Amino acid sequence: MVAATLAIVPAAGGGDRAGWLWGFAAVGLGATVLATVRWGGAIWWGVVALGAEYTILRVGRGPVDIAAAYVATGLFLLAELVLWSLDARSRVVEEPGATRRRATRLSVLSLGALVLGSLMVSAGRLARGAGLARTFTGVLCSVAILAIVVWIAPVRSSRPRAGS
Amino acid sequence: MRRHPSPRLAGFASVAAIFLVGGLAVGRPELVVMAAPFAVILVAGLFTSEAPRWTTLELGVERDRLVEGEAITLEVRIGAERAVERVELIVPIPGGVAVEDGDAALALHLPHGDPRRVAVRLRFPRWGVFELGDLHVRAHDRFDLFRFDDRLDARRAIRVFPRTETLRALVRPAHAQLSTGNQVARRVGDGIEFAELRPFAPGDVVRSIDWKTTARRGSPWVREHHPERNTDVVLFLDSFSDVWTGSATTVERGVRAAASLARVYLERRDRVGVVSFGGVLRWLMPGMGIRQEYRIIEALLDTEVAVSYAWKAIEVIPTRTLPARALVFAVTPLLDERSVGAIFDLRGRGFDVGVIDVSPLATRPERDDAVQRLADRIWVMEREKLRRDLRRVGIAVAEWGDGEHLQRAVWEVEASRRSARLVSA
Repeated sequence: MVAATLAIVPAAGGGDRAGWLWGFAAVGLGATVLATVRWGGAIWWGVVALGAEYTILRVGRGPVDIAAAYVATGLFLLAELVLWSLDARSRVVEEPGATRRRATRLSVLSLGALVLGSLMVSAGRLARGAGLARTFTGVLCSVAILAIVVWIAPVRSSRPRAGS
Repeated sequence: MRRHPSPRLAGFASVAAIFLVGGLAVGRPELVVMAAPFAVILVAGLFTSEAPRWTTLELGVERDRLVEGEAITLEVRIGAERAVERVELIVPIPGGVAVEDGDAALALHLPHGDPRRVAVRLRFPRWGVFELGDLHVRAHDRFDLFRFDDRLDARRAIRVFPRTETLRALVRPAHAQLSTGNQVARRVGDGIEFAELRPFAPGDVVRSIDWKTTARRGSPWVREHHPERNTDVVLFLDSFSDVWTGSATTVERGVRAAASLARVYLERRDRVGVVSFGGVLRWLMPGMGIRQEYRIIEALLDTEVAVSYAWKAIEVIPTRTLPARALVFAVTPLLDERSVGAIFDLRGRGFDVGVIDVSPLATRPERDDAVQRLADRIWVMEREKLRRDLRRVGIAVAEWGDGEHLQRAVWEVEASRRSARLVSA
């Protein structure tokens, strides 16, 4: 349902870009379905496709959209729910307390994502004159994230020890 | 402990990187907003991730020796210095064991300073030696970006002894040995059981004179007795083939029968040995007492069907395993030519042989096809002919069907031996 909302709502208001939007919506939905039924790794393609769909809708259309915070929260929630459904399919049985705890945690994180997104949108609307600073910050964050990706690419494991 | 990244780590990092780079490329802040939750959790997770330190990690086993059909409880105790968001426990369950209560694979939250106990109740429906494996523990960090795998060496053998049946009467061997026992021997000597009267001869003790007969006959007569002696019994277990018979396989039932017979013979102070005749030959020299009972059960627990096409005859059995004048009690489904041939050979060499035929006929399916029905009947007749051939050479045979009490088959063997005058009494 989350994936369908994220896919259909932007595509429905696409206007002249409807073809692209429906295409990305289909990819996003398809990847999500694939992730839930067969290959869990497809969820990241789904998240990226749905994010790309929303971006295509917004390219060249004025200032920061307030709905970006909701889309960000939706994408985060979608990824978490798919990962949860994959965990639930394993043979490991969760005790009732663990399920309740995970649901609470997901709610708190989603709310946090919404607050964070709203703050960023607000900040983006306010700081209009600081284009260079924003670009610098963006580059810094991108480099940092890419560094993390490079760092985690090889599996880093501590040496195993026998027994407990 | 082994640390490895979860799928979430790579996914979050990739999504955050794609959105941030895309945001820079197209100049839209929305992409940065979408990247934010993933990037924040990623950074927070990387800074807070820490391997758990167990204060307690134990696997307790209620007991490691039990009788088939019984249940035991495994208890995992786990505690950590700091709270662990999610711990997955995979309790090692041997194959063929039923989980009666609890979960063998459980995910739980581990609070700070509060060791948890997880109990799993296992039921062992079959005899055998069941090896517990390692206890696998997987801890997830707070944001589930890293997982920490640990294992506890919990390897331990659970010995499940076969369920024995109560037997009130046994097959009495034709020959007794020299040691004192419960078996009335054929020969005469010191004993309780009356044997015969005969005229007094020089050397006879006065105490043995039967005064009533002496008074009646006018000359001294003495009373003679049969001594009580023990016997040697060798249980010959056929493990060449194994067939499902409805409630268990022929080998499972054979082991139960052998254990039941061994226990009762040993209680009668007889010497009992075991020969497991199959793809793998195992034997145990005849012996007496409770230790021998445990040795026999341990030997029976190792019984398994090892497929072999090598021809085996009784020559491969060590001579000392088959003492002279021993009763050889074969427990066999009479399916393999090698075991049947060995039984004939044993009889040919003068051993006193009895056979319990662990019948595989119980679970024959209903045949629709006339040819299959005919083949079925031929098979039944061939088995009947085989039993007749065994009886013809002086081997008492009784068919033991699935669900029947072992005592019925034992009585049948004994009755067959009495009619053939094979018993001493």
